[in-house]
Amino acid sequence: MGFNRLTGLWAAACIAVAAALATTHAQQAPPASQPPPPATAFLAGQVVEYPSGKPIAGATVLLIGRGDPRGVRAPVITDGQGRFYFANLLPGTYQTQVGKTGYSYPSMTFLVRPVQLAVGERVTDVKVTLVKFGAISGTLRDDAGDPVVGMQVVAMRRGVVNGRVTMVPGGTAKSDDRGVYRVGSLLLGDYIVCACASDPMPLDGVLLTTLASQPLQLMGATARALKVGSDAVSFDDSLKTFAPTMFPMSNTVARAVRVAVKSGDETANIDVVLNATKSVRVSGRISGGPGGMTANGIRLVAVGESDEGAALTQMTPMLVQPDGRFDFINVPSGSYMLMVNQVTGAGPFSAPTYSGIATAFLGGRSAAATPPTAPGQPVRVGELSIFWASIPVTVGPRDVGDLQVTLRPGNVLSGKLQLDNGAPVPPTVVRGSVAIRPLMTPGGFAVPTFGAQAAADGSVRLNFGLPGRHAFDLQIAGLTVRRVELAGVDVTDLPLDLQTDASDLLVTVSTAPLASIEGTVTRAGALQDVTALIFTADRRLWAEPRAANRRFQAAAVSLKGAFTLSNLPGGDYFLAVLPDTETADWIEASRLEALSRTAQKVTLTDGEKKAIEVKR
Amino acid sequence: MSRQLLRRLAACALVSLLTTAVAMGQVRDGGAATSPTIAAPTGTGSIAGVVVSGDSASRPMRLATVVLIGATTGVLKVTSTDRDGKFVFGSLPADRYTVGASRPPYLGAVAGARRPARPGSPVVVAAGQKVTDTIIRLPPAAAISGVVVDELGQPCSCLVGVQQRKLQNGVRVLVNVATIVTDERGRYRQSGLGPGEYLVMAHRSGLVPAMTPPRTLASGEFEAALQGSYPQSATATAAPARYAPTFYPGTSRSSDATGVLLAPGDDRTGIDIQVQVVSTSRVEGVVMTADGQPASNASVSLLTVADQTPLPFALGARVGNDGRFLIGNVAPGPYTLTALSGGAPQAAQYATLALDMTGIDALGIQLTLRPPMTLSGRLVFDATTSSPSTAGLIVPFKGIAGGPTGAAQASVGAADASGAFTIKQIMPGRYVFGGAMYFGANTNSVTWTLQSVIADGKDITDRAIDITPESLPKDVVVTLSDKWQSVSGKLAQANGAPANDYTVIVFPADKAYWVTGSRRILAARPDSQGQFILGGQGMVSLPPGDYLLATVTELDRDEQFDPALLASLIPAAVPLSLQPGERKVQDLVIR
Repeated sequence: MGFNRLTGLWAAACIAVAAALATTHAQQAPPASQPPPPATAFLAGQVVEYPSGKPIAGATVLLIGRGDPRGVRAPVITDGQGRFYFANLLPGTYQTQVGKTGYSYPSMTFLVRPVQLAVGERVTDVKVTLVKFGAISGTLRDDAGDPVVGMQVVAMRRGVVNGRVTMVPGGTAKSDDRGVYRVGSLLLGDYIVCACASDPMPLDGVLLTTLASQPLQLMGATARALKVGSDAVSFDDSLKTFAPTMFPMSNTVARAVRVAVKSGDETANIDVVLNATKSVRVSGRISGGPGGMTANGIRLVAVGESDEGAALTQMTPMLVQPDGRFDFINVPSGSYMLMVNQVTGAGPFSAPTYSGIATAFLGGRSAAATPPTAPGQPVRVGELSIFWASIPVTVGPRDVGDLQVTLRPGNVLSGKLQLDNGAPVPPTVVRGSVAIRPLMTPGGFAVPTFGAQAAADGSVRLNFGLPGRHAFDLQIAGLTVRRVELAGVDVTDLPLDLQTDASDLLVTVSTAPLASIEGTVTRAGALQDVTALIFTADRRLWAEPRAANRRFQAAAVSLKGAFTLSNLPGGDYFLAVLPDTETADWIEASRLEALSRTAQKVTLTDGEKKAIEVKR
Repeated sequence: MSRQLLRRLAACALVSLLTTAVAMGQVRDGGAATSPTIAAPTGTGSIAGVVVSGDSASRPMRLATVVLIGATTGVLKVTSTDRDGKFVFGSLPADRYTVGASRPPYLGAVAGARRPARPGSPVVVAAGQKVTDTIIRLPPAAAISGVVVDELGQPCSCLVGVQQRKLQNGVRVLVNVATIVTDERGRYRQSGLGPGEYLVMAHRSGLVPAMTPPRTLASGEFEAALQGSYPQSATATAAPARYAPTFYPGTSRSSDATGVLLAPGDDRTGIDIQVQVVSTSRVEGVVMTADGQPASNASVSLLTVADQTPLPFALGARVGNDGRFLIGNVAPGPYTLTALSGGAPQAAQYATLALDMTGIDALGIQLTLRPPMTLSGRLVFDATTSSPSTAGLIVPFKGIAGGPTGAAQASVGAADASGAFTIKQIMPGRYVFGGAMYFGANTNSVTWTLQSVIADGKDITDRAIDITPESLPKDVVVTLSDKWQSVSGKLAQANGAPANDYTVIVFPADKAYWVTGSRRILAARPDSQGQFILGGQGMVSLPPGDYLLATVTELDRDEQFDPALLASLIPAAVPLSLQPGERKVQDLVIR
């Protein structure tokens, strides 16, 4: 990732707001004939720091509103008590956007939390909470003390994925020419710092262009070398790369030293020492599929230590050739899974060609050349099919050559949809999507599964690539899932354990809606950002919550305390309202257990619309 | 395309070369037959040497990557240096070798090069010869760093472009060398830069929610406001503005920017920028079909003109049922306004208009959609041996940026088995048929070269042509040939000794070909014996024609495409003519 995730989100939010403003001005200016409503509303509040609650002076507050034809308010800088106000506002929907150097919103889930102002309404107790970022910095050096340049550094913290505590990336950075890195915009917590991936390019680009003195000649040299063939090229045994290394110099998460990041701290001198190890090539050939394998579907995924589950490295091939031969270079020693998948029939079929990082130049240098030829093959749109392979690869000090990978055809799960009242399925079933999704894959490199449309008679046919546990998902307007059966066993909201083809999926759907909640939070204090969380009381479903998404939901509570939760299957639930600052990683068994002790218990029946008041 | 990307892509190319060739048992051409592996040439020669830092310390560089390419044999080897910076390549057949090395954070360099990123001198190895004195000096890289703040003085989450002025077709244009995203403190740092002058530009996308400066609440103001009493400034409003690309030290015009001059190894700090905001205006008009009806199903887009800002962006709008459109919040600057009819892409119609926005609304614009043009032709081979299949081959045809409609687009179809090809979706504009024929990573690129493009009996090879409905070529014949041309010779001092500290340039006598990236302008440094070769077989072939051959002591990167330089070389240049298939030998003496 080239830039920080949080910063990116912040920027994205600003752009979205800007776009909304642009639309407002272009299209929603009221006709001049109508007199404008009185501009008498008033909004005021305070910006505070989490967790201390101390006011933040000098923060910039923008008021973003819709429908004010007079233009936009000047931003306000908060006073010594962190306070701001906007007066003489037209009635309408407003949002505050607050920024200060080194601070972030605590939750990225609900950035837009509007407040509606009626004519003359005064809202004076808006509370905006910001978290001060931390940062980790240091220097990467090799065993001789030279700086290690261009290596990706990942700061990982504990996070929750599908109900499991695992290491997730909190931020990334690249070491510069001095070996210096800095991972900024980090939320508070304990981090493992990993110098994880060396630059996949072993050679300096300026050098390469210079070698041939002109790009044209470099391409000519490339073509000539391709013609000359194998033995003309040799990699010397002396080439080196750097294996993933964690602070201070460990190759396992278990032995790494955790780095504590406190709010607003810059934790410096987190220096990592890396040992140069032999650069290994991993190559082989993929066969058995429909042909025309491309690099998109091939990854070499480092297999993390079982408990922590961190996938530190995921490599893409340097080159994949039309006949299925592939090459990875600069692979550090370690345990990997070679994950391969290929999908055909999904769209226009392009002719087999060379692919991989290496070919970007060959096709992309258009200034002096046409793109590589795509021989004029007919567009082939056929039935979707998946081919896949997954093999373990252990990389030691020697090159791994001649890996023979045989693609296997994907599997098919078929079955049908039926209405709960025995009536024929409505014609709309052919328009939505029915899908199964893998719950866990090595390194997050998912072998794809594909949503499909049901046939008019309700029959469904779902392709999947890799055997394993999957979540069932149905998105058809006007239909809700009531029961999912596989081989006669009720697996509603449970993982589908799919090992091979299966044809006995039976999904009972209904045209009636599931339950919904119109909630109100009444509270004594200021209007601060809180979130409503609802989760099933059925503890069996806490183990793999991704399979039961609709029973674990969150909703932003508006500044006036309203929230809506819908599409909830009937059953027993816990409902809790938390400040945004406490909602991170909440779908995890021990956390759910703790929340359940103070949460409000709610029982819902299918189709019910419940009004609930939550007191805080 | 950014320089960074080009570097990266260039890096890819060689890696591709390495990986492909190693794994290669057979080569598959586009849909054609496979060709057998050719045994790699080998020999008993060797090249040994040392990689050292190019600064005064001349420190031996351990773990530097060293690459060797044989000019005619295609031998390609990669090694790395030992603790003392030493390397050796063995088992070499006789050839002319280019030897280069890299070791971050130093810049890469080639043996015999006088400056970074310049051609070096080939190392000649005779059969069984052992060359032991190769020295590669890696120049230290330079870096630029600074802080970017927004109009409120807060750290800006901005894009920073590090740019250089490059010569393109005789005009200096700005080219992005690198694009960086600032961190949450607004800081950026770009390292790995070669010596030279750079411009630094910061840009933030999107609207500025307000262009009035922020107000700091006065002491007691908040309490008074709660009582309903506040200053007039508290309720002032303003029209939205946009961020302008801002060059160091603080101007939106590149001509007013201050360049940052970097020497090797410089670490330049404090290149700080505050992004500027500009007021915006509207573009309003109507899109009509060719028969005068409102084009209700069209869309319009406003694109910044590429040469003006290295980071292009577009604004778009849908057209209403009455054909009307409105694009708001347009920052000042030159744009291309394009209307595109809806429906199937094959039936799309276009209209374009160049617009220079100056902060004043552009109202009452009328765009009339016209069908794009289609051009057809034939691809033929002038072959001394058997010709490959024409099926699937794509002819070189591209729009030239900076023409009347900016970079014109067209959809170039592949030739069929009979050689017939069609180019569709051609908008009026300036185009060129020509350039190097690159067939992808296969043997065609080694063998075949573009010989000529004849349109309605006129030779337009490598020449820009303006295409309008009136001047649309009717019959285009594109000829490929396996004949190839080159110019080689020996460069000697007046006393007969080999001269290798020069660069030899060959360029066309006809100035119409003096364009950036032309395959007809080639430069190379002679090897240790003074031998030079320009052109060769396949895509690197020098097209037949009249040329001039000259020498210069030093050449900046891409300077050989500078028409002023070429014009200055004419008086001392040697004229020569290349016939199809001719490999001209022309010795030169330095006087």
